[in-house]
Amino acid sequence: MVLLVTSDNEQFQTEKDIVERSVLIKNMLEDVGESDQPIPLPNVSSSVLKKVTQPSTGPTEIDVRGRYLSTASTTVESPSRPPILEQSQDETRKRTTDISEWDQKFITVDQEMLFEIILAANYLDIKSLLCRRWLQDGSQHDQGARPPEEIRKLFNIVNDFTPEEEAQIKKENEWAEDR
Amino acid sequence: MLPAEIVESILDFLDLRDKPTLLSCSLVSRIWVQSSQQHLFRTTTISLHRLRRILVESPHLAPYIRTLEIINDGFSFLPVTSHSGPSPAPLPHLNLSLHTLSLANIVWNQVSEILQQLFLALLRQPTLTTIHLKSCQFPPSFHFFPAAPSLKRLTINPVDF
Repeated sequence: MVLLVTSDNEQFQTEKDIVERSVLIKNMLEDVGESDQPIPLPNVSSSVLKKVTQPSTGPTEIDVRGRYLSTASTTVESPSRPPILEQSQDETRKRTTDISEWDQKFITVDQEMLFEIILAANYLDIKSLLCRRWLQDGSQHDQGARPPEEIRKLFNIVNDFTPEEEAQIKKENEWAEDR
Repeated sequence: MLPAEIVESILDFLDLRDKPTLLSCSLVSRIWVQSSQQHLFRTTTISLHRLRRILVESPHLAPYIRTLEIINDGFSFLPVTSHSGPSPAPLPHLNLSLHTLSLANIVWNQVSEILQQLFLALLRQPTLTTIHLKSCQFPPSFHFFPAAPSLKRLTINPVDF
């Protein structure tokens, strides 16, 4: 077990294999060797640490509150995208299976916590939390890209492009798709 | 707002082939567009004709291109200059970080002169170390090693000289 001390001076006894998801902590443990000394994490609050060290079957993954009503059942609710009604049974089964397996690994957070988790993940160097899930639209079974306006909403970003700049970027992006 | 370096960290975990996500990210904001386009253009497949347009119209994209695959879209074989049309915009100074260049189905003698000049400028890039040629035709007098001073690896599959 490893003893971690958060910015709000709370102590956490955490299993070594869980905290070693953090490259920062893993390196610190390798540097100090076997020791009972607590590891200070001055940039991480206790509430964030609880989220990022939450034990799970796979890497801890997080979605933002409101996108899904996440339970162990196979029901997925997406406010912006109603369920596809015209699906074959196979397609439906595939979709619900994909989502339920994936959804059980999720915990839900509000936007403020999302920011804190991402900042903590960057500080602690936890790659599984800086994953592309933030940028993907989990309401689709193939998890396509989130539209730009949804990414802005998720991260509270203002669209600072002029219409001309946006048109120019779209034109440039066509070159990236060229084949 | 997330700092640019954290946006960069998140985008670093994207698969470079995941173009739909990168395209979407590029339209989020000014902070996001640079990181997204760096990933989008890192490996670029394009014709010489369109590459020239990128370099002339959006030269800020040039340093993002590391691996370039030149394909034949037919237009590269047409003369860019014509007596009736305007002269093409001059090619700016190339600021590429290109290390790998692939060409497929290119017949050198049919490429317009202005695009030949572009190709020769690509070869001169000091970062270019690898060239792959596939089903291309070059004149016997064309020598890649003198033309590409940093070239270390040249693969040929089948090429007529």
